[in-house]
Amino acid sequence: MFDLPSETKREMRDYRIFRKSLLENGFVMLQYSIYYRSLPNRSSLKKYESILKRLVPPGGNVRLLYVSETQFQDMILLAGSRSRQEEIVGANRLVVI
Amino acid sequence: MGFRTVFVKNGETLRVKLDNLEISKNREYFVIPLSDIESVILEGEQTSISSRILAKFAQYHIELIVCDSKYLPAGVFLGLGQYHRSAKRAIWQSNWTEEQKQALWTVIILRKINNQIAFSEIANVDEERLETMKELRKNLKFGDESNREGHVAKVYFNSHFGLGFTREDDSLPNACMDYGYAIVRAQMARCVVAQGLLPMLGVFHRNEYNSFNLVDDLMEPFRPLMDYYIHREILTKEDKYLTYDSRIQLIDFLNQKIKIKNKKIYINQCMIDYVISFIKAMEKNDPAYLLDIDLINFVECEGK
Repeated sequence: MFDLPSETKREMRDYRIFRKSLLENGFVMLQYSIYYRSLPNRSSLKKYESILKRLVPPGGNVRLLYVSETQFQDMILLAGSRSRQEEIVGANRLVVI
Repeated sequence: MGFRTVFVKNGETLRVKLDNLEISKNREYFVIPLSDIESVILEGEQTSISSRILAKFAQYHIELIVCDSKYLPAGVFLGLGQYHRSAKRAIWQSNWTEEQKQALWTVIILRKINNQIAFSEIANVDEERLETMKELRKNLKFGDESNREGHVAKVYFNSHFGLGFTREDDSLPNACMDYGYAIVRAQMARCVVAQGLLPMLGVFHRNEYNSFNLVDDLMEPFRPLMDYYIHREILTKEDKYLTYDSRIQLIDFLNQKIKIKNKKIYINQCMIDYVISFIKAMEKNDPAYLLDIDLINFVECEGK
């Protein structure tokens, strides 16, 4: 989850680079400013934590939250629906497209 | 290390998008991080693929399996020389002595026969035939010079599928085995290459036209596991041919669990550990280091 300032050109650039590197590292947009990524085990959580720490731009507000697979699946949708990406890729070990 | 198997049927294009694999099908787009992917299986003949994504697959040790019009895996694409000390491994591997190779082969084949007998026991094969197989196992010599492997295999297949059965028949069990073995073989090839070994230099198989001799050696103990899995998941259904669902089921073999050293792990992980243990056994010159792949430990983990 992040809030990044976008007043100056410099800030806009920082934002673009940050978002791009999130995608490069396999994060998927859940909704605006909220990105998620599923990982197979605890040690890789730590790995991605340190990657993210390196990527965050100065002057922003960025948060990271670990959620278990079950908790993520149990998320209640009050409006809108799950994306096809979430349904088909999600945290599945076998992805059938 | 990847953990996902991606199966694409009649996809349109596969592309790289910011270190992700982007798959488009029926105007829908799916992205999967390359670092998550272990293997990609393509079915249907309309998918187009760029050389850029092939290079990425090689870098990330992702195996690509392409199926033919009969849905059987026809080819594997694997990266080469992506291991950090591949030259060292290659020189070491070409210096294996005949004795070392035969010692390892004896262990591998013994494990395979054990698993074949274990599966036959589960499938309630006649006592008499079990005895024949056990008798043949007793006579296993160093390097299997009397080819007990072949004799056991004959009794084994005939006990399960009838006396007239050969592996060349056009039947459902054969289709399942061809498909299932191809999936195991491709995964094993991936593990072998990822450890910097040359897949063409085997310990027993030495066919000069086969670039996967070592893979064919190493996968032997896994074959009866696949047989058991086919028997449990597919042959119990009333299908006449290898259906789409059955093919997916066979691919999912790699996501089943097996108990190794009292820990339940996925088969694909187990294959990596197995290849690493093989390297260790070769280095220490002691076949006892080779991981024991036991069918019973696989049966126990049914239903995860």
